[in-house]
Amino acid sequence: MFDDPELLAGFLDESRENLSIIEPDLLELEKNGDDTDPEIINRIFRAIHSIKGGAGFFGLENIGHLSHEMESLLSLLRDRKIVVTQELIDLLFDGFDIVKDLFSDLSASDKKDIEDVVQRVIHQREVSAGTASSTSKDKSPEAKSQADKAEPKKTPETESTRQTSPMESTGRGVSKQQLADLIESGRYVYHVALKNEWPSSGSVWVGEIERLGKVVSSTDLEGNPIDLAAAVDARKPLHMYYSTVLDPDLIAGGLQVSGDAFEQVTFETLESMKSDTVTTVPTPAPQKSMDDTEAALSAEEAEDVPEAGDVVPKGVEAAGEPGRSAESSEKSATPAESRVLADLRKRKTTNEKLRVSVNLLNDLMDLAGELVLARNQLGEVIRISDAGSQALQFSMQNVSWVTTEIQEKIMTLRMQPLSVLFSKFPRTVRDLSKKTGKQIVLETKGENVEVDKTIIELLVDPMTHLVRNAVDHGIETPEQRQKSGKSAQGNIRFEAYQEGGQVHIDIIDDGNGINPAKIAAKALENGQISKEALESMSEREKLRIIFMPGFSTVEQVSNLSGRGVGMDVVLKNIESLSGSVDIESKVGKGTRIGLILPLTLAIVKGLVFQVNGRKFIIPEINIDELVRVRVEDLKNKVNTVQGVEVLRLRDQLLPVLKLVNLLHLENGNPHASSDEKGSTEKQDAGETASVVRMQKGTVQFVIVRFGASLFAMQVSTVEAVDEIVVKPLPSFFQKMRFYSGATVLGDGSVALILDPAGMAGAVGVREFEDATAEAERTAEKEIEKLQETVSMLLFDNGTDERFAIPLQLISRIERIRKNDIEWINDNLYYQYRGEKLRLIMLHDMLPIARPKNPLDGDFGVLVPKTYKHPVGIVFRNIIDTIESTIELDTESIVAPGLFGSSILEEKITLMPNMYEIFDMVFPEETQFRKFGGKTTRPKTAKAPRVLIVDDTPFFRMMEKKYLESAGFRVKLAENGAEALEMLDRESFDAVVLDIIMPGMSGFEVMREIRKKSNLASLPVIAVTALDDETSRQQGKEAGFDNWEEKLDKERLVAKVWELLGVDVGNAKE
Amino acid sequence: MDETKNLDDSGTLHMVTFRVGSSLLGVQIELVKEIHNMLGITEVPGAHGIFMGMVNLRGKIVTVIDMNVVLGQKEEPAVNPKLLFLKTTSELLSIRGGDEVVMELGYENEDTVGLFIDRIEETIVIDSQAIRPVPSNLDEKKKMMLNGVIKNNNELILLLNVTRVLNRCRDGFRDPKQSVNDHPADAV
Repeated sequence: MFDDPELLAGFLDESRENLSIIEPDLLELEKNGDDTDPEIINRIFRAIHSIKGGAGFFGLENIGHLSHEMESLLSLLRDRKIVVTQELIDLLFDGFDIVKDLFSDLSASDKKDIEDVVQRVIHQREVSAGTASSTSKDKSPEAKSQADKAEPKKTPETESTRQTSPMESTGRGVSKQQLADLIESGRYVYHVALKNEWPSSGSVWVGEIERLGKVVSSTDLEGNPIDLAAAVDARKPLHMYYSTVLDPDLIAGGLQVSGDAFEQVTFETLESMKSDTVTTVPTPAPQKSMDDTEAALSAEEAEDVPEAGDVVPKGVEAAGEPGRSAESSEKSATPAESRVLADLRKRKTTNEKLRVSVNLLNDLMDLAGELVLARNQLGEVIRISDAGSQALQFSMQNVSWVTTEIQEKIMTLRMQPLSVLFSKFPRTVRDLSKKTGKQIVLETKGENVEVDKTIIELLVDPMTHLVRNAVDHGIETPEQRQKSGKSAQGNIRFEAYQEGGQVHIDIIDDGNGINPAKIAAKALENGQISKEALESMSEREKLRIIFMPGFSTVEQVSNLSGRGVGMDVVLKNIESLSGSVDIESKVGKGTRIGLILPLTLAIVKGLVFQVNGRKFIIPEINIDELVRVRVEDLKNKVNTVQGVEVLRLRDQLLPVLKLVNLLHLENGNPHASSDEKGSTEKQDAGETASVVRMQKGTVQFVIVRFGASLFAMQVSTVEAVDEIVVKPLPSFFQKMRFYSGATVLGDGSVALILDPAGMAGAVGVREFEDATAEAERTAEKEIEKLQETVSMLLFDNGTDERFAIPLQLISRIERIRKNDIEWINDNLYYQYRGEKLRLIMLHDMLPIARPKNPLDGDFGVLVPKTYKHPVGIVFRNIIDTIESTIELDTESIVAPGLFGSSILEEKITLMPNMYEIFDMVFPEETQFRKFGGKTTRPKTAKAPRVLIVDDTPFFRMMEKKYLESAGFRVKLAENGAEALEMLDRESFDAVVLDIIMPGMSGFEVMREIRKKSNLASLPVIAVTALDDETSRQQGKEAGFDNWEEKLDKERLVAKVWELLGVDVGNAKE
Repeated sequence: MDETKNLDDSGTLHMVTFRVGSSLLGVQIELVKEIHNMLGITEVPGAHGIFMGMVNLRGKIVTVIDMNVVLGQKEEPAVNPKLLFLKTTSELLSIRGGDEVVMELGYENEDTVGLFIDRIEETIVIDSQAIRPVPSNLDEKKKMMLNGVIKNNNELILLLNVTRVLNRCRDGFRDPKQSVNDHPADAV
């Protein structure tokens, strides 16, 4: 046996590739039956033929045996001697599966029992061909008839020339054409001249070289054929043509002769060879191997060319008994088998592809990274040194460009198209649909999208699981489908596309969908989730229950997918790839599972941040947002719930994770460079580990998402989001669960990459969630906490009292003096840009302290953004503008014209309701607003009901007051899910919907609303701070009737009326 | 294969000697990849104190081992310490004669590591016959890490058994205070 590990590895790779090509072809064959494109059948045939050849060459008996029998079967098929039946297809699938299985462990392949399938193949062949005669002879007539039949046919390209060629001789016992044919068929041909030295034993030597190739001819110096072995033993000078798969580098060793004893024969040398008169004489020796050789040649490669025998007469006999010769060819390596390897080589060279070890790639990546670093440093030196001549600059630019190019190219080396992954599934779907009796087609889209090789490999299992699920639980039986008005044939679709540095792979089926209610009920029954928790869950969240560890429904367990591997494993697998899983389902319509993955694991976007002078990185994909909290707000924002510190973020409580404690970073970085270290120590001097204060009196939190859990990681400073090359940790640190890898930063230093999974485990996020929810509910009952930050203008009225109005409501602030003011009808006016601005003194409207001399000296006027009348509020001093969350107290201080009070900067601050005050000043205006010019209520209509959906209590309340003051009846919802529920229960005339909300965004809520037939035409207004064109457009598409800026009362009220069809001045009874 | 035994069998050995605190150490020159001035070290919080951290050696992330801790010494490092990088097994195999050294020492190391040392001393040629067993009065911790000792210029050179040092680093060190990364229950 030719024992070359490299060749063997090459053969293995090729064979696996061949096997993977076969599958789609078999599926095609199954689909089209006897109408299948002959090329497809040929391809299958060639694949198994190559495998058989290689197996013989490497002495893999089982593989050789089985592939030989399958090849014979396929040859019948190819020659249309048998028809395609389901039985045949199944057998071929099984056969290839077993071959594949044998390849999976070569060393054990010969120990496996394959007799069963071999017998099946033989049986099938007999049955199909209708020649159930005795096995020992049956091959012969078949093959013979096959050869007979093939005779008149035009032959394949490589052989075609042979039979028609003129016998132009080389003068050494063989025609040029013969040699040309051999070269063309992918072999190397050598001319060997032995004159001075000979191998010691002729027969041994001939035996050996016959294993590696084929002696085409051997002659004496006069061109007379000789017995090679005898000539060698007799030490006679001789010429020999030898064809082999060994390339020129290997041949010297193979022939065991010195380098000058042979030369390679190429088309060029053939061309220049003088034409001699000596006719072709076949080599008489060595007999046995010639038999095998030529038999194999004619039976296998030259199946259609029995004329091959005229080259070597022996071959004719052999061609008459291809069964026997083919069998023996398995046991000894012959040129037929070698052809496989020649093919292999040929393909390699023509495709210009190399197999490169991943380690080498990684090394290259490292070096490319360093090259980039060095380039940056060099650039910096040139910039600083001022020595930068034009030429140097130019060279630097070149280097820079090439460096970037190199890095990019190296990155792409790791990429593979998704087709590599997708191609595994047609077979899976076929097998599963057969098993379940369902009819399913698989469609794929976007298989050209390229993804890191590692990711592709790691996607196989989760994707397989998802496909199994889709077939098993998703797609219905043909009867069920037809009953529900669908086509009998189900459809599974893979859709892949690249977006924003990530790959999306959607697995979509048009099956029965998943019923969230059923899932919820099952989870409740299993005790996996509490009733309370369920109540607060949206449909979407309920769907996600399927990702809980150990979740399964009765209907979910089957022999296909109920294998103890659940969706939780899928989720975990995807998350371990820094990806995420999304699920959407409509009962009766189908399910979409969306996988979002990074393009590569080798490079990720990561946030670089510092904790106590040490730099860490967290993958950007795990970051939800960055939050900065003022030190003075910490008290309000960070609470302790059941002994765990939590950050209050909007309406969520997030466990706080402190790396300082977790990683014991109390002492700063002992090894950091000296200046870095100094600043760190200064910064943290005197701090306890519980709260690390940052510069400018704020504390930063990185909100980290891992799966469904969120936590707030407290950090010192946030540096930047960088593309980082992820490197595995040295083996010493691989067990440390807080780190997933390391990287070299732009400054050349090493930084650790944090593992969100490990950290989520550390904060005990999952156990914590229930406690959080509980605490949240009680907290909400106590006092309405306003979590979204609002920009407020703080001012006073010349007294100790402080006031605050959202900056958003104010269009401008004017400084004026007493002299600028006019008195008309006891009212104050201020001439401003040709307009008379009605001035309002807060102490006239609100129960507050009166300033002593309100109009002495400098004072100011706040002009609101929109109001029908020109109006302004008089104030004395502006104290500050602050960005803050507001805890609105609506009980301590209550008065018309006031929202309430709040503690801002540790002082009680009153919050005037500007519009209410204006309405108090212009009462008739209110009436007009309310009922379209009529001062009486319309008799017919009850006041319209409006649902306000906003997660921020402050805005919720403002909108409520606005609309109530305009005569609407208002209901409130804090989030999308709640709103949808209320819409299901009660009827509303209009909805006012916030866009940016946790959980479901306004867009999503909108889409959900429009999906409900009874709500399809419900007027919905978006009220948001998002005022860009894209958002507006998106809003329009989602189905919003109108898009309004937040806090603009006038427009809001007007729009609601408009949408209700109550036209101003036209709203009579 | 045991290092001690095989060292005795061979003829002359080239040893790179270096100082860590009060100890003078030696490793076979074939194992030395390169010697560097100190590089910026990134600590690995939660790891055992034997690991000073990681450095970037031309794009490779390399673990730095504190030889003072390895030897159980509590001495201040030098003002200008050095890093002595060791070859990996595959690096060693790729040089001529490397396979013999690997065989001889049973050297098994696929991580590039740097030893944190005070300073490099001369490279000496020794006769393997001159290697003496580790004196029994030496600290137990040290003894574990040594193949033997040799006298040179009236000073005792401790011959380091690198494989054993690295193996200890890999699984020998774990103390309760430092194991936050494995037992995080009390970490928050």
